[in-house]
Amino acid sequence: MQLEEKDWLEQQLRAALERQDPPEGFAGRVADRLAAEGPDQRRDRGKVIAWPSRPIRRLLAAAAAIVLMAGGAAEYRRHQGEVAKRELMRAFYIAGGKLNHVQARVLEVSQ
Amino acid sequence: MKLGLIAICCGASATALFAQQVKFDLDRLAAKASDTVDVSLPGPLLQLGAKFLDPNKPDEAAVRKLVAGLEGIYVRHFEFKEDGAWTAADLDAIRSQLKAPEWQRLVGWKGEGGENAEVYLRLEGGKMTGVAILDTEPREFTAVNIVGTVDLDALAQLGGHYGVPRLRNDDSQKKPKNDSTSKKK
Repeated sequence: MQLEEKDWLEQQLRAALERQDPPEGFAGRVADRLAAEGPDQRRDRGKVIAWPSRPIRRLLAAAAAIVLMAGGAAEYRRHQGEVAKRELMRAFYIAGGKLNHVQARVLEVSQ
Repeated sequence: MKLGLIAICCGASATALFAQQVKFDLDRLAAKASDTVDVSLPGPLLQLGAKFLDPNKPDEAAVRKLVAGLEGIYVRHFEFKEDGAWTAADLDAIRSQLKAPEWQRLVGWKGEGGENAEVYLRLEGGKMTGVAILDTEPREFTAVNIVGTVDLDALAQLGGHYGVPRLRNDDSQKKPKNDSTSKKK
Protein backbone atom coordinates (compact mmCIF):
# COMPACT_ATOMS: atom_id res chain seq x y z
CA MET A 1 0.00 0.00 0.00
CA GLN A 2 1.43 3.38 -0.94
CA LEU A 3 1.95 6.17 1.58
CA GLU A 4 -0.61 8.53 0.03
CA GLU A 5 -3.34 5.94 0.06
CA LYS A 6 -2.61 5.16 3.72
CA ASP A 7 -2.94 8.79 4.70
CA TRP A 8 -6.19 9.09 2.86
CA LEU A 9 -7.61 6.05 4.59
CA GLU A 10 -6.57 7.31 7.99
CA GLN A 11 -8.23 10.63 7.33
CA GLN A 12 -11.44 8.93 6.30
CA LEU A 13 -11.48 6.72 9.39
CA ARG A 14 -10.75 9.64 11.69
CA ALA A 15 -13.61 11.62 10.16
CA ALA A 16 -16.01 8.70 10.48
CA LEU A 17 -15.11 7.94 14.09
CA GLU A 18 -14.94 11.53 15.21
CA ARG A 19 -16.95 12.15 18.39
CA GLN A 20 -20.14 14.04 17.78
CA ASP A 21 -22.37 15.50 20.43
CA PRO A 22 -26.06 14.53 20.32
CA PRO A 23 -28.52 17.07 19.03
CA GLU A 24 -29.87 19.49 21.57
CA GLY A 25 -32.65 18.03 23.80
CA PHE A 26 -31.89 14.42 22.85
CA ALA A 27 -31.55 13.20 26.46
CA GLY A 28 -34.83 14.89 27.43
CA ARG A 29 -36.69 13.28 24.52
CA VAL A 30 -35.40 9.82 25.43
CA ALA A 31 -36.44 10.30 29.07
CA ASP A 32 -39.93 11.45 28.01
CA ARG A 33 -40.37 8.45 25.71
CA LEU A 34 -39.31 6.01 28.41
CA ALA A 35 -41.74 7.55 30.83
CA ALA A 36 -44.57 7.19 28.28
CA GLU A 37 -43.87 3.45 27.58
CA GLY A 38 -45.44 0.62 29.62
CA PRO A 39 -43.31 -2.14 31.18
CA ASP A 40 -44.29 -4.67 28.45
CA GLN A 41 -43.28 -2.29 25.65
CA ARG A 42 -40.02 -1.51 27.45
CA ARG A 43 -39.24 -5.22 27.75
CA ASP A 44 -40.07 -5.92 24.12
CA ARG A 45 -38.03 -3.04 22.74
CA GLY A 46 -35.08 -4.18 20.71
CA LYS A 47 -36.49 -7.63 19.89
CA VAL A 48 -36.72 -8.57 16.24
CA ILE A 49 -40.16 -10.17 16.73
CA ALA A 50 -42.15 -8.62 19.53
CA TRP A 51 -43.43 -11.14 22.12
CA PRO A 52 -47.22 -10.80 22.22
CA SER A 53 -48.84 -9.24 25.22
CA ARG A 54 -50.13 -11.43 28.09
CA PRO A 55 -53.86 -11.57 27.04
CA ILE A 56 -52.86 -12.52 23.50
CA ARG A 57 -50.44 -15.14 24.84
CA ARG A 58 -53.27 -16.60 26.92
CA LEU A 59 -55.55 -16.67 23.91
CA LEU A 60 -52.88 -18.35 21.80
CA ALA A 61 -52.24 -20.92 24.53
CA ALA A 62 -55.98 -21.65 24.83
CA ALA A 63 -56.28 -21.98 21.03
CA ALA A 64 -53.29 -24.34 20.92
CA ALA A 65 -54.76 -26.42 23.74
CA ILE A 66 -58.12 -26.64 21.92
CA VAL A 67 -56.43 -27.68 18.65
CA LEU A 68 -54.37 -30.32 20.49
CA MET A 69 -57.41 -31.64 22.34
CA ALA A 70 -59.51 -31.76 19.16
CA GLY A 71 -56.70 -33.57 17.33
CA GLY A 72 -56.27 -36.02 20.20
CA ALA A 73 -60.00 -36.66 20.42
CA ALA A 74 -60.23 -37.28 16.66
CA GLU A 75 -57.28 -39.68 16.81
CA TYR A 76 -58.78 -41.51 19.80
CA ARG A 77 -62.14 -41.75 17.99
CA ARG A 78 -60.41 -43.17 14.89
CA HIS A 79 -58.57 -45.72 17.00
CA GLN A 80 -61.81 -46.70 18.75
CA GLY A 81 -63.49 -47.07 15.36
CA GLU A 82 -60.72 -49.33 14.04
CA VAL A 83 -60.91 -51.52 17.14
CA ALA A 84 -64.72 -51.66 16.88
CA LYS A 85 -64.43 -52.62 13.21
CA ARG A 86 -62.04 -55.49 13.97
CA GLU A 87 -64.32 -56.75 16.73
CA LEU A 88 -67.34 -56.39 14.46
CA MET A 89 -65.74 -58.44 11.69
CA ARG A 90 -64.66 -61.10 14.18
CA ALA A 91 -68.15 -61.29 15.71
CA PHE A 92 -69.80 -61.64 12.30
CA TYR A 93 -67.34 -64.25 11.11
CA ILE A 94 -67.96 -66.37 14.18
CA ALA A 95 -71.74 -65.85 14.13
CA GLY A 96 -71.91 -66.48 10.39
CA GLY A 97 -69.61 -69.49 10.60
CA LYS A 98 -71.68 -71.05 13.36
CA LEU A 99 -74.95 -70.38 11.56
CA ASN A 100 -73.52 -71.91 8.42
CA HIS A 101 -72.39 -74.88 10.50
CA VAL A 102 -75.91 -75.33 11.92
CA GLN A 103 -77.44 -75.15 8.44
CA ALA A 104 -74.96 -77.72 7.15
CA ARG A 105 -75.73 -80.10 10.03
CA VAL A 106 -79.48 -79.83 9.59
CA LEU A 107 -79.15 -80.29 5.85
CA GLU A 108 -77.03 -83.39 6.40
CA VAL A 109 -79.74 -84.90 8.56
CA SER A 110 -82.63 -83.93 6.31
CA GLN A 111 -81.02 -85.47 3.19
CA MET B 1 -86.38 -32.06 38.44
CA LYS B 2 -88.85 -33.14 35.75
CA LEU B 3 -86.20 -32.69 33.09
CA GLY B 4 -83.85 -34.83 35.14
CA LEU B 5 -86.43 -37.60 35.38
CA ILE B 6 -87.10 -37.42 31.65
CA ALA B 7 -83.34 -37.62 30.98
CA ILE B 8 -83.02 -40.65 33.28
CA CYS B 9 -85.98 -42.36 31.58
CA CYS B 10 -84.54 -41.65 28.12
CA GLY B 11 -81.16 -42.98 29.21
CA ALA B 12 -82.72 -46.11 30.67
CA SER B 13 -84.79 -46.79 27.56
CA ALA B 14 -81.75 -46.24 25.32
CA THR B 15 -79.77 -48.66 27.47
CA ALA B 16 -82.58 -51.20 27.27
CA LEU B 17 -82.74 -50.76 23.49
CA PHE B 18 -79.08 -51.69 23.04
CA ALA B 19 -78.98 -54.19 25.88
CA GLN B 20 -77.87 -57.75 25.46
CA GLN B 21 -80.93 -60.01 25.41
CA VAL B 22 -79.21 -63.13 26.68
CA LYS B 23 -76.88 -63.09 29.67
CA PHE B 24 -73.70 -65.12 29.20
CA ASP B 25 -72.36 -66.03 32.60
CA LEU B 26 -69.41 -68.06 31.35
CA ASP B 27 -66.44 -66.87 33.38
CA ARG B 28 -65.91 -70.43 34.58
CA LEU B 29 -65.28 -71.52 30.99
CA ALA B 30 -63.02 -68.57 30.25
CA ALA B 31 -60.71 -69.72 33.04
CA LYS B 32 -60.36 -73.17 31.46
CA ALA B 33 -60.21 -72.18 27.80
CA SER B 34 -57.06 -72.25 25.72
CA ASP B 35 -58.54 -69.70 23.33
CA THR B 36 -61.27 -67.19 24.08
CA VAL B 37 -63.17 -64.69 21.97
CA ASP B 38 -65.27 -62.21 23.90
CA VAL B 39 -66.96 -59.56 21.77
CA SER B 40 -69.54 -57.16 23.18
CA LEU B 41 -70.61 -54.49 20.75
CA PRO B 42 -73.65 -52.45 21.80
CA GLY B 43 -75.39 -50.20 19.23
CA PRO B 44 -73.17 -47.11 19.36
CA LEU B 45 -69.93 -49.11 19.07
CA LEU B 46 -71.47 -51.25 16.36
CA GLN B 47 -72.35 -48.18 14.31
CA LEU B 48 -68.94 -46.64 14.96
CA GLY B 49 -67.21 -49.81 13.74
CA ALA B 50 -69.50 -49.93 10.70
CA LYS B 51 -68.33 -46.47 9.65
CA PHE B 52 -64.81 -47.84 9.26
CA LEU B 53 -65.83 -50.77 7.03
CA ASP B 54 -64.52 -50.54 3.51
CA PRO B 55 -67.38 -50.85 0.97
CA ASN B 56 -64.86 -51.96 -1.67
CA LYS B 57 -63.95 -55.12 0.23
CA PRO B 58 -66.63 -57.78 -0.32
CA ASP B 59 -66.64 -59.14 3.24
CA GLU B 60 -66.70 -55.72 4.84
CA ALA B 61 -69.41 -54.55 2.44
CA ALA B 62 -71.52 -57.59 3.41
CA VAL B 63 -71.06 -56.87 7.11
CA ARG B 64 -71.97 -53.24 6.52
CA LYS B 65 -75.30 -54.33 5.04
CA LEU B 66 -75.97 -56.67 7.95
CA VAL B 67 -75.17 -54.05 10.57
CA ALA B 68 -77.83 -51.68 9.24
CA GLY B 69 -80.65 -53.33 11.19
CA LEU B 70 -78.72 -54.19 14.32
CA GLU B 71 -78.55 -52.79 17.81
CA GLY B 72 -75.87 -55.01 19.26
CA ILE B 73 -73.84 -58.18 18.84
CA TYR B 74 -72.40 -60.29 21.65
CA VAL B 75 -70.17 -63.32 21.10
CA ARG B 76 -68.51 -65.74 23.51
CA HIS B 77 -66.36 -68.42 21.92
CA PHE B 78 -64.15 -70.81 23.88
CA GLU B 79 -61.76 -73.49 22.69
CA PHE B 80 -60.35 -76.10 25.04
CA LYS B 81 -57.41 -78.47 24.91
CA GLU B 82 -59.38 -81.30 26.49
CA ASP B 83 -62.88 -82.74 26.29
CA GLY B 84 -65.36 -82.16 29.09
CA ALA B 85 -64.32 -78.62 29.92
CA TRP B 86 -67.88 -77.40 29.53
CA THR B 87 -70.95 -79.13 30.93
CA ALA B 88 -74.63 -79.38 30.06
CA ALA B 89 -75.28 -76.96 32.94
CA ASP B 90 -73.37 -74.23 31.06
CA LEU B 91 -75.57 -74.77 28.05
CA ASP B 92 -78.75 -74.97 30.13
CA ALA B 93 -77.96 -71.68 31.87
CA ILE B 94 -78.26 -69.97 28.50
CA ARG B 95 -81.08 -72.13 27.17
CA SER B 96 -83.23 -71.33 30.20
CA GLN B 97 -83.29 -67.69 29.10
CA LEU B 98 -84.46 -68.53 25.60
CA LYS B 99 -88.07 -69.23 26.49
CA ALA B 100 -91.36 -68.68 24.69
CA PRO B 101 -93.20 -66.47 23.99
CA GLU B 102 -90.32 -64.08 23.18
CA TRP B 103 -87.94 -66.74 21.92
CA GLN B 104 -88.72 -69.41 19.34
CA ARG B 105 -86.33 -72.17 18.47
CA LEU B 106 -85.76 -72.04 14.73
CA VAL B 107 -83.57 -75.10 14.52
CA GLY B 108 -81.86 -77.54 16.82
CA TRP B 109 -79.39 -80.33 16.18
CA LYS B 110 -77.72 -82.71 18.58
CA GLY B 111 -74.83 -84.95 17.67
CA GLU B 112 -72.65 -87.42 19.48
CA GLY B 113 -70.14 -86.50 22.13
CA GLY B 114 -71.57 -83.14 23.10
CA GLU B 115 -72.05 -81.73 19.64
CA ASN B 116 -75.00 -79.41 19.70
CA ALA B 117 -76.30 -76.59 17.51
CA GLU B 118 -79.34 -74.42 18.10
CA VAL B 119 -80.69 -71.22 16.59
CA TYR B 120 -83.35 -69.16 18.36
CA LEU B 121 -85.28 -66.15 17.10
CA ARG B 122 -86.69 -63.42 19.29
CA LEU B 123 -90.00 -62.19 17.94
CA GLU B 124 -91.89 -59.11 19.12
CA GLY B 125 -95.16 -58.24 17.39
CA GLY B 126 -94.29 -60.63 14.60
CA LYS B 127 -91.00 -58.85 13.99
CA MET B 128 -87.58 -60.38 14.53
CA THR B 129 -85.76 -58.46 17.22
CA GLY B 130 -82.96 -60.85 18.02
CA VAL B 131 -81.12 -64.07 17.28
CA ALA B 132 -79.33 -66.46 19.60
CA ILE B 133 -76.95 -69.13 18.34
CA LEU B 134 -75.56 -71.91 20.52
CA ASP B 135 -72.99 -74.19 19.02
CA THR B 136 -70.93 -76.70 20.95
CA GLU B 137 -68.40 -79.37 20.16
CA PRO B 138 -66.44 -81.50 22.62
CA ARG B 139 -63.70 -78.87 22.74
CA GLU B 140 -65.62 -75.78 21.69
CA PHE B 141 -68.38 -73.68 23.16
CA THR B 142 -69.93 -70.76 21.29
CA ALA B 143 -72.81 -68.50 22.25
CA VAL B 144 -73.97 -65.58 20.12
CA ASN B 145 -76.66 -62.98 20.69
CA ILE B 146 -77.48 -60.62 17.85
CA VAL B 147 -79.84 -57.81 18.89
CA GLY B 148 -82.02 -56.45 16.09
CA THR B 149 -83.05 -57.67 12.68
CA VAL B 150 -80.58 -59.66 10.65
CA ASP B 151 -80.68 -61.49 7.34
CA LEU B 152 -79.79 -65.03 8.40
CA ASP B 153 -78.99 -66.23 4.89
CA ALA B 154 -76.58 -63.35 4.34
CA LEU B 155 -75.02 -64.01 7.72
CA ALA B 156 -74.58 -67.72 6.98
CA GLN B 157 -73.05 -66.87 3.60
CA LEU B 158 -70.56 -64.61 5.32
CA GLY B 159 -69.65 -67.48 7.62
CA GLY B 160 -69.23 -69.74 4.59
CA HIS B 161 -66.67 -67.34 3.16
CA TYR B 162 -64.59 -67.53 6.28
CA GLY B 163 -63.09 -70.91 6.98
CA VAL B 164 -66.33 -72.80 7.49
CA PRO B 165 -67.26 -74.69 4.30
CA ARG B 166 -70.21 -73.29 2.38
CA LEU B 167 -73.15 -75.58 1.79
CA ARG B 168 -72.77 -77.45 -1.43
CA ASN B 169 -75.98 -77.04 -3.41
CA ASP B 170 -78.54 -74.28 -3.89
CA ASP B 171 -80.98 -75.92 -1.49
CA SER B 172 -78.40 -75.49 1.18
CA GLN B 173 -78.99 -71.75 1.23
CA LYS B 174 -82.63 -72.20 2.20
CA LYS B 175 -83.38 -71.67 5.83
CA PRO B 176 -84.25 -74.82 7.74
CA LYS B 177 -87.89 -75.14 8.61
CA ASN B 178 -89.06 -73.74 11.90
CA ASP B 179 -88.35 -75.85 14.96
CA SER B 180 -86.92 -78.73 12.96
CA THR B 181 -85.13 -80.32 15.86
CA SER B 182 -83.32 -83.41 14.77
CA LYS B 183 -80.83 -85.85 16.10
CA LYS B 184 -77.91 -87.25 14.17
CA LYS B 185 -78.05 -90.99 13.72
